[in-house]
Amino acid sequence: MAKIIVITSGKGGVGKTTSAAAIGTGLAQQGHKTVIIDFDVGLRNLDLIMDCERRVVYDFVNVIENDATINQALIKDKRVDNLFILPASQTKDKDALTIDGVERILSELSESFDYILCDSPAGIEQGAYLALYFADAAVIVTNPEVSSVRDSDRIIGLLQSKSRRAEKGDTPVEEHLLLTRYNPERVEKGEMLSIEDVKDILAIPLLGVIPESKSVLAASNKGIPVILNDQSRAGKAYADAVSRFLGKDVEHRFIEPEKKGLLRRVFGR
Amino acid sequence: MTEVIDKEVKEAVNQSFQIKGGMVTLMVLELLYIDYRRFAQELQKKVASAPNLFNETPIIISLEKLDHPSEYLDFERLIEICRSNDLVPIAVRGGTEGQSQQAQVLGLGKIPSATKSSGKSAQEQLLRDTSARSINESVETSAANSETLTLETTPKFQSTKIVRQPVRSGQRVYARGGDLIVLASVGDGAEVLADGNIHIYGSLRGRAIAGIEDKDNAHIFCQSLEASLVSIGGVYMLDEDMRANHWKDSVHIHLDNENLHIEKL
Repeated sequence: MAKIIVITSGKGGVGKTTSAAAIGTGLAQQGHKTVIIDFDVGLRNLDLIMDCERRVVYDFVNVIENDATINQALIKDKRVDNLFILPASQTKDKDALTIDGVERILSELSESFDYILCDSPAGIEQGAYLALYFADAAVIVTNPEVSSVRDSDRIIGLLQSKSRRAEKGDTPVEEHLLLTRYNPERVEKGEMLSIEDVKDILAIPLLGVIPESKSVLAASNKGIPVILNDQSRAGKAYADAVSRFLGKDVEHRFIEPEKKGLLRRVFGR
Repeated sequence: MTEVIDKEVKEAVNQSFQIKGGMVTLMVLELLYIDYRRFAQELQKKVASAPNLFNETPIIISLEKLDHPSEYLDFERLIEICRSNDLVPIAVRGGTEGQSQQAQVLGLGKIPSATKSSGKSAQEQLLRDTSARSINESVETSAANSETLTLETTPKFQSTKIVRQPVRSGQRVYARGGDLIVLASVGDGAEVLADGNIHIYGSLRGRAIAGIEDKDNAHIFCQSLEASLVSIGGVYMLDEDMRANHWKDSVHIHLDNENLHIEKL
């Protein structure tokens, strides 16, 4: 039985797809058979970030509508073993996703995969609701700013009341906070919320803090999940987060402002 | 069969009126003691100070705070004084059976005392109660109304609702007929309501509305006041009024003379 993980946030543009790609890749690197499903019908992005957009023949909606089998639609990643992508449809209407269809596909995938990552669209409508409904665990992607935190709060509320686990009264959905675009220097200046502020408001365990980094954008544009860049701080932070998700105790890095060395201090930035 | 339904529909369409529950904020004139001359003078002074506020305004005369509650009242004279000052008395609240009968003769409605529940029919009481009290718009839901109905007909008992999880943005928790205790924070964009008291063992960042049913005994407690709105018995305060004082303090909020009073714990 696979563990179903939803990557969600409420707010758009906070790094859900980037995080889904990185965490999915990280889990596969650790030897777990993983599939990442793009739930953002009509605004497909995951394939770009995973650099497989030209290999999309059939998509999630085709499988739901029985136009294709799951195996026809799954795209195997060329870089990492055990990693598969199920792309969203770019042309279909977003109402094409149905709860029965999603359930059927998830249970079919459950038989052969260890982890199923559901990359949720922004908002709290049908797509986002279906992405979280079947989840066993949730990674709440949040930026350190008030509107993102408030939207995450809303999504956590929905997970606790509207998910299948909540409706059935099973053990609640596991919640993990992933703080992205964190910039310790700006936190120090009071321009961003601190880790403590966000933890205080959301009151869920912290999975990881991803520092704001140019390497994230560069990786997205090249279609390489940032976790594969083991030189970048963001890549290392994602790797740490994956280890924590798998139960390892890893200390948080990149959460304090960088100390400037003597040369840097003398010659300015 | 269809004919009958058609007829009913037709009648419903052609109805000359409909009755709807509504909420209006009304001014209440609380008489403290009876001295007609003084009342006339003071009222005149008050009206002169804010003429626009009292322009043909309907008011309710409350007898609940009279020092000698059963004293004989000259309603004709009271009404006359009000009218001459551009106030339109529409009902009397509280008072003895005799007093309300007198008022009725002069065309005033009767509103049961806000503190004591009378034996009148629940529906009647509800309709009048709701129009009389300045209840915050957030409680203006049919759910709240129908619940009030059952509360009035059954003897009141105080039940307490305990919430262990944080109340998150977009969530709404209502403790009907009793107190609400939240053992976590109330997030920005969340709303907690109670007919009685509200206790929050965490930060209050959203809206807290207490004393919907029992405003005289309603209090709000929280460990950190960062609320967007607090309200007790319809008297409310917004965050801009609270930011200057006691912001992020652990506080006790209660009604004092129809004003919200915030005290540091």
